[in-house]
Amino acid sequence: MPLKGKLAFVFVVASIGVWLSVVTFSGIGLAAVPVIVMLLLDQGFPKKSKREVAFSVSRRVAQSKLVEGEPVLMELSLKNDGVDQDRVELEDVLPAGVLVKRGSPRMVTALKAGERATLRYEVSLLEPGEVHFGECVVTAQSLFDLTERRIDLVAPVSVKIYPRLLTRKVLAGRAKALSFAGSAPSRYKGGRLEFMNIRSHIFGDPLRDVNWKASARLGKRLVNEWHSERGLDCVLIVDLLQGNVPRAGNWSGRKDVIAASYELAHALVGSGNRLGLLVLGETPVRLQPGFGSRHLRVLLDRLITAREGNVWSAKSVDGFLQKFFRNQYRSRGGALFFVTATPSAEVLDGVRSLAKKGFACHTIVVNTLEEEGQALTSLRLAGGGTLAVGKRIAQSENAWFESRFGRYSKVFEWTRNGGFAEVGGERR
Amino acid sequence: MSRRRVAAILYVTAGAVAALETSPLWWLLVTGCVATLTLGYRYRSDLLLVVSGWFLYFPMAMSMAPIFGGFWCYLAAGTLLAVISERLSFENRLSLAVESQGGVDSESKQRADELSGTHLRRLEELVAVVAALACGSVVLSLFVSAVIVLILSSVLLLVAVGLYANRLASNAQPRDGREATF
Repeated sequence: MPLKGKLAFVFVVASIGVWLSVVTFSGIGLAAVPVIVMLLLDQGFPKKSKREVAFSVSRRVAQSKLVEGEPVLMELSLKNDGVDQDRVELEDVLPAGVLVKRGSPRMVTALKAGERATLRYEVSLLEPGEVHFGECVVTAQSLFDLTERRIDLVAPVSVKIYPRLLTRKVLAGRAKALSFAGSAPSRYKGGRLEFMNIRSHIFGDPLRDVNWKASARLGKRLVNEWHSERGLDCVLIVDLLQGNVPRAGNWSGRKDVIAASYELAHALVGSGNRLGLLVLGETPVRLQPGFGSRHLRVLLDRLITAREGNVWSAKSVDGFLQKFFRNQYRSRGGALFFVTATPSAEVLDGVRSLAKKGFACHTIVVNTLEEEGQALTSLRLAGGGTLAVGKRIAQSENAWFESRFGRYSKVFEWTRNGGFAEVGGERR
Repeated sequence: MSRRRVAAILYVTAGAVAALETSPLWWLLVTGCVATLTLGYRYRSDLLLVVSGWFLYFPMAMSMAPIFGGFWCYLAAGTLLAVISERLSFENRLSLAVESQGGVDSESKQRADELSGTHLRRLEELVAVVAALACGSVVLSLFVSAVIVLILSSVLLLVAVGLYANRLASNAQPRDGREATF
């Protein structure tokens, strides 16, 4: 057990007191008396109980899936599996990005053997992602806190934080306007897009395709023939590379990147396209292209669990596409959507090389300058003229990159309030 | 009793001592007390809060001399400061758990209140033991003149008994037959 500062101070006062009194043969050092009595009372004088320290913790969270900013109740139960404890401190170690809304993540209590105490507090989580709660610190102390023993315990729980779902959509069929019709049959509207021809009915044709007027005129059953709708093979490439996600204090541009990606994914899947996902970041987050709302939910889960890092760089995109398209890699092409908050030379290289290989590339620049400016102002790191100059420089940098991206891809800018806008075009 | 209230008590005590004493040395000690108390309060440091009280020991003993006499004033000042400093340090730790903007859970609050009561009772025990020691010394001093020797030897006897009791407890076998852990 390490010597605590308070205990050392008590020893010093007691020693000096005894020494002074003995040397001067006066009452000058009588302060030693209450201090020594305190020490004896604290250590259980006259009887000393066996100090076996054993605790167990369990954790419960009211909801495991939340929307960003939504409060959630956390319960941490501490059970004393050892002997009676005069004073126990329980402190929950909170992960980054967690804000305590009500209560305190710390409790001080006495705990008898076998007794259980529950710490309750409410937290809200600031940005989308998967947050792992686990570590907590239990400190068994003597009543006057002269001696203590610290134990680190783990009670793991994960909470998934989803972005607030945005109702604004990219216009229906937006993907078609962005690129060519792909080769994957769309599930949207039953595959009926435009009228092609009338032909004789054959067994198995659906009744809804029968052209009753033409059949009545010609005296035989005829059916309409439709050109089936073809969806795009879209791949969403989200840039969560370390350094490409702007941060200022507790604020992070990550949630805007996820919101923009989700909004785009929602629009693409909603208009019948097949959508895949690749996140440039720490862990390999990939999703084979697929259709439908279930696929969209899986995509959102993957998006929020993705972490920033540098392991999966823009160079990995080529390999991923090769794996997905296999031997049709060269001929089939597809539409790629790069989503980035900070356009960089690395992503530009990726877009350039893929555009040259025949992919229709689109770059979505997530503009977070406004929110970043507010965060810097609240942190008092910038404001007034400095902030205005900084914003102008950042805007110029973005404009330069957008012009470079524009050579190889269509460029769009996304803002939280304004949605998507084609650079040089109208807002959608 | 909150951390703020106990700190206020110590500030007031320091002020009273400064008002009663005229020596520049005592004023220097009182200034030291106020400075460490302010720093300890601001940075929530247990050690600084405990140390802050003890700056007042000599000036306070001098201030109490007219009431308790030249000998017992040291014991009275020491006991008072030990109680205030310990309580301040305790409230400081407790405040981390119970001072929250949105309030705390009722169970946490109730447990903290219970512990606070236990702590206060233990401090009362401390005062009672010190008072008993002082009374015993007074009685014994009727027969022997060296009171200081009596008090200190009583305390040292207490320490010896305490150590012996602890040693006995350490060597005791657990009743349920499990291997003992210390």
